[in-house]
Parts: sequence; C-alpha cells; structure tokens
Amino acid sequence: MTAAASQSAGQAATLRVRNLRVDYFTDAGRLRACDDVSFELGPGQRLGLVGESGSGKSTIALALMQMIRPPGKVGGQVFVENDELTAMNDAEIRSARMRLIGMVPQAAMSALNPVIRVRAQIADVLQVHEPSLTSAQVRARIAEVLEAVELRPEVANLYPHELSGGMKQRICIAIAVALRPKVIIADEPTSALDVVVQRQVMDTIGRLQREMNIAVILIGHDMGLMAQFVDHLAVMYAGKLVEIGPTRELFARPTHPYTHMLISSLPTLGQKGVFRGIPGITPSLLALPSGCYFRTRCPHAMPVCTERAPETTSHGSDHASACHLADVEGGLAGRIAIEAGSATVRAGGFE
Amino acid sequence: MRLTYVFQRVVLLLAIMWMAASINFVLPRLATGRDPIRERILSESARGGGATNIGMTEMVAEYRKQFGLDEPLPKQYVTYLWNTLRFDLGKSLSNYPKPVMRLISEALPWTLGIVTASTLISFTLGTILGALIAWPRAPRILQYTVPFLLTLSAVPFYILGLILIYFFAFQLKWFPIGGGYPIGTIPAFTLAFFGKLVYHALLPSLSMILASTGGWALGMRGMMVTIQGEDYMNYAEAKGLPDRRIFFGYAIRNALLPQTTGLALSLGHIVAGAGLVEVVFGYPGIGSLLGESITRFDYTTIYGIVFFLIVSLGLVLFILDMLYPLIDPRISYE
Repeated sequence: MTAAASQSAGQAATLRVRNLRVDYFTDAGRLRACDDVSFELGPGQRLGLVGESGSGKSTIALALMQMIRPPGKVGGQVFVENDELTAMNDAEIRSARMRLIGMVPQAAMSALNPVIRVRAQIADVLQVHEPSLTSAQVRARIAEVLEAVELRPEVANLYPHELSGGMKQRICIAIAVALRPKVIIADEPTSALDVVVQRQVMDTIGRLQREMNIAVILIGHDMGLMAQFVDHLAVMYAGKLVEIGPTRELFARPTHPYTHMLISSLPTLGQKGVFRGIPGITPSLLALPSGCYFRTRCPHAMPVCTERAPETTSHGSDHASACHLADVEGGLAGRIAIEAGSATVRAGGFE
Repeated sequence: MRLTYVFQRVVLLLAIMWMAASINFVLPRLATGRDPIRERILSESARGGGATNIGMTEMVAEYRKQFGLDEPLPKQYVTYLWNTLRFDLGKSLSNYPKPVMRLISEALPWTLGIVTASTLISFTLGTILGALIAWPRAPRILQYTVPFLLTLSAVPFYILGLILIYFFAFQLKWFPIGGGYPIGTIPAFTLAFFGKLVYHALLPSLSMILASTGGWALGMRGMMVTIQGEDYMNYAEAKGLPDRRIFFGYAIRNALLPQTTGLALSLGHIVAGAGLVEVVFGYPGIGSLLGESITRFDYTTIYGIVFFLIVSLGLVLFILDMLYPLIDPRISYE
C-alpha cells in the first residue's frame, strides 16, 4: 500500500516507510505481524497509528527503530531523510537511535533503570551520541532538557522510584528530544497515566514537537486523543494498514468499514444510546481469513472479499484505503446509506 | 539512613546473639538421664584399667563443682552469659582442659583463608559466566557450559573432593593427599611456607570452586534472563547505547542485587567451615574440628562452633543490611 501522508510534494519526506514487513518465525508457523506497510511523513507532521491490540502498531514502532529480535525478521525499507535505517549495520543503527529516530516508550513507569539516578540516564544518551561533550556541557544539556519538559533541574538527582508516573514520562520525553531527532515514535505514551496528567504530557510532546519541527508517530487506540492531537491517521488491522489520511477527512468520510466502526464506537456527548463496539475479535495471525482480513467482522462483506485481498485505492491526494467497496458505486458511504434505508448519508457521525 | 534504624538493628543483633547463647545453654541441660561428667570419668577409669567405683561420687561432685554445675540454674545461666560475653566458651570435653575458644581460634584462620578465597573466586567466576550465558550477544559457545555447570552444582563438595584426591593426589601425585601444610614443617610467616600453604589448599579449594561455581552461574543466568524482559532493557536498546554499556550498567547492575544477598549469606556460613571437604582433605579448619567434636561427643566445642556460626551470620546480615541502600537505592531506612 502506498499512501503519501506528506502534503508538501516538493519537500523531501522526513520518514519514508516502504513495504515494511515483519515476520516472526515460530514453531506454529510464520506470523506476519506487519504486512507490507508503506507511508511517508513530512517534517513536523503528526501521524496517529491506531488499531486494536495485536494489530501490529507496536511492531511497527520496533521495526522502525530496527529493534525486532530473532525469531523476528524485518523486510522493506525505512528512510529518515536520506539515511536508510534498514541498510545500517549494528553500530550505525545504534548511533541512529535517539539521534535520527527517538522513542517515547509505552511503559514509562518501568522504562527507567531503577538503580541509577535520572541524571545518569539522560547523560548516557548524550555521552554515547555526542562523545565530544564535556561534563559541564552534559550537565547544562540535562538542565536544559529537563526545563523543556517542565521539570526542575534537581529532578536529575533523584532515582526513578522517587518520581510520579507523569514525571517519569516527562523524563522519557526529555531523553527522546535531547538529541533533537527528526522523528519521534510515541508508543501509547499516556496509557498508564490519569486523564489530567495525560493531557499535560500530550501538551508537552506537542509543544516540543512544534518547537523542534519533529515528525511524530503517535501510537494508540484512543480515537478521542488522536482526533485532538494528530493531523494524519493510519488505521491498522491484523498487521495491514487499511486506511490512511488526514484526520478530519478520515473522521468525516471514512472509506474503510473498520475505520468507520472505530469512529462510531466513540461515545458522543449529549447523544444517548447503545454503546456500539465492533463485534468479534482480531483474527489470529496464524489463522487469517482468505481475501480481506476484516471480512469476518465486516457488516458490508461481499462475495469478492473472500476471493482476494483488496488493492489500495486512492481517495484524494493523501487519503487511501484498502477495501473492495472502492469499486462499488457510492463506496462505503453509499453502502451505509442503502443499508440504513435512509436518504441521508451519515458517514462518520462524529459531529 | 537514619540512626534510629542502625540502633534498632544493633539491638536486634544483640538479641539474636543472646537467644543463640541461651539456646546453647538450655539444650544440653534438656538431655535427661545422662551425666556427661560421670560417663567421662567412667570411660577414663576404664581406659586406665581400674574398673573401680571407689571415690566415684566424690570425683563427680568435685568436677561438678569445678564446672559450676552444683550452682542453682539461674546462677549458672548468669555465669554462662557473662563468660560468653568474654568469649569464654568453656573447656573442651575431649581435649580437656583446652578452652573451646583456643580450639576455634586455632582452626579459624585455616578455614577463613580457604573458604573465603574459594567463595569469592566461585562467586566471581559464576556470576560472570552466568551473565554471559544469558546474554544473546555473548559467544554462543558459553551456552554449552550449562549442562556441565548443572552437573557440577549437583555433585556435593566432598564427593568431588574424593574424586580429585583419587586422580590428582593418589594416581598422578601432583598434589598432597591432605593436611594444611607438610608434616614436619613449622608454620612460619615466610614466603616458602606460604607457598606450601597454597599448594596444600589448591585441591580442597578446587573442589569447592568447581562445586559452587555452577550454583552462582545458574542463579545469575536466571536473573539475567528475567531482567532482559524488563522494559528498561528495551528502552536502553532504544536509546542506542552500546551493547557493553547495556550489559554492565543495566543488566548486570540489576541482576547483581539478589546475587549479593546470596554472597553475604554464604560468607556468613564461612565460619562453619567447608564441613566435609575439610574432613576429606584432613584440613585443620573448623569443619574438621566440628567433625571430630561430633564423633567424640565434645558438646562444649560443638556448641561453641554453633554459637560462633550464629554470631557471624548475624554480623554479616547486619553489615549487609547497612550496605544494601548503597547498592539498591530503592531500599532506604527512613
């Protein structure tokens, strides 16, 4: 699937992912956790990556960082500007991590080494990637990045267990931006935090990202958070990218039934009714259905869906999806209208 | 660390020592129907050939007086505690009238030297080996050592000792069969004598090192495997740190915490000697002394050694408790 999320055609993309594949070779067989994923990200863009648990979101994060370990195997290409991460050797990729492509970890609570001080944990990133720094410079940089994430410089002298969850996540953000990388992957950075702290942490990420013009991939399954934070949205299902496009457009005119169902499952204020989910569960990667992987849960499944996997179809300059409904008159919106038996076309129902 | 905690801990240590001493006092007095003095005199007189009972009662009474056994129990207890406080553990029954303290202090240096060295060597070797076995980017060949380590750690010290003696001392005659130093030499602080000491200590140490390295290695390997699943290990990888740094600063640093506790515990046990290893090698340490005392029903010496063991274990744990906040910042006494 090739869908360009990059709006600026003339400018080189910050992150280019081409036909990314991650296979795990297990005793039970080959498991494709990430299937032919391609997308691009321009400088300063925010891309949200959503999907159910096990849809391959975090696998993509690990694959982008080149951190898939055996029995996993990565295929395809990942470029950050002109550097191809997939072609680097071990030493090169280690030096690229955090310098070209940073990461805010999913489990900030336990991502810091419990037995060494925060200062040492920020300092080791600086020292490893910029060996020319003097200890005074390292000290100054640590104070600087802590200030950037709204923490007092004394926090550097504490141990991780002396910090709150929000503070730990801020430390991780400080480490992620310390070397001003081109891209930051934030893998559910707020999943363990309460909503107030969640909001503050997201504001901090957003502000730093704007100031430093860093491209961000935000991974998560909170569609509400996504709607507020990202400008582009990519929807994953069973390792495949099923739809990608500008957030507003995706919410207003989803072209894949899965996207539509994800959006419809959001609770809305003032509108009482049955809380709608998506029936069924994600298929096992070891026993995927033929044709389209989503057809077993899709309310609009057609005979063709069992026969072959849908091709990626473009729905505008940077909006694309992989669904057989693209070949049907009226597309998904038309289908919904017919099935609802009404003339009004309610594509997203977000308003 | 707060002073009140140190104070509490010292009080606890003293309480443990007092309890250990009290149990040592009570236990032998619980044995009913047997009078160690009477039995001792009987066996002595039998050995002397004079199987006579003349003056027996008087002799027993005299010795009872000498040991203070004719006093009321509470008074005996106070005297006993006071003596223990002065490290006077009474006189040995089988080596009468040699004080138990003398016996122990003669044997202790031998044991301390050989067991401390072997424990530290096997701890270091085992920990490094275990860490490398569990590290995916370490040489794969190390993983083939696991079955050997498992086998060795399952073989008791003394069996290994016997095997070593048979091959290296008896068949090949590379090492002496036993003893702490050659018979006929006088212990002295010379380099030549030190060389002989090491030569005699090699085989018993080897049997201890071989038998316990496996245990340390397997423990460390388990910890390293657990730690590699921790989020901070993945994050260290994402930070782009060099493998060496992650290995030492993140993996080993954390895996070492439980290992250290294990090391402290086994250092506390050193005073008990290497037990049967010393017996097998005829090494003049505490282990041999304990073995001898048991075969000769030398109660005072046995109790003395046990008391020493409890005290040293208590001391080592006290020291460990005081040092632990330094190696694990999550532990603090406030």
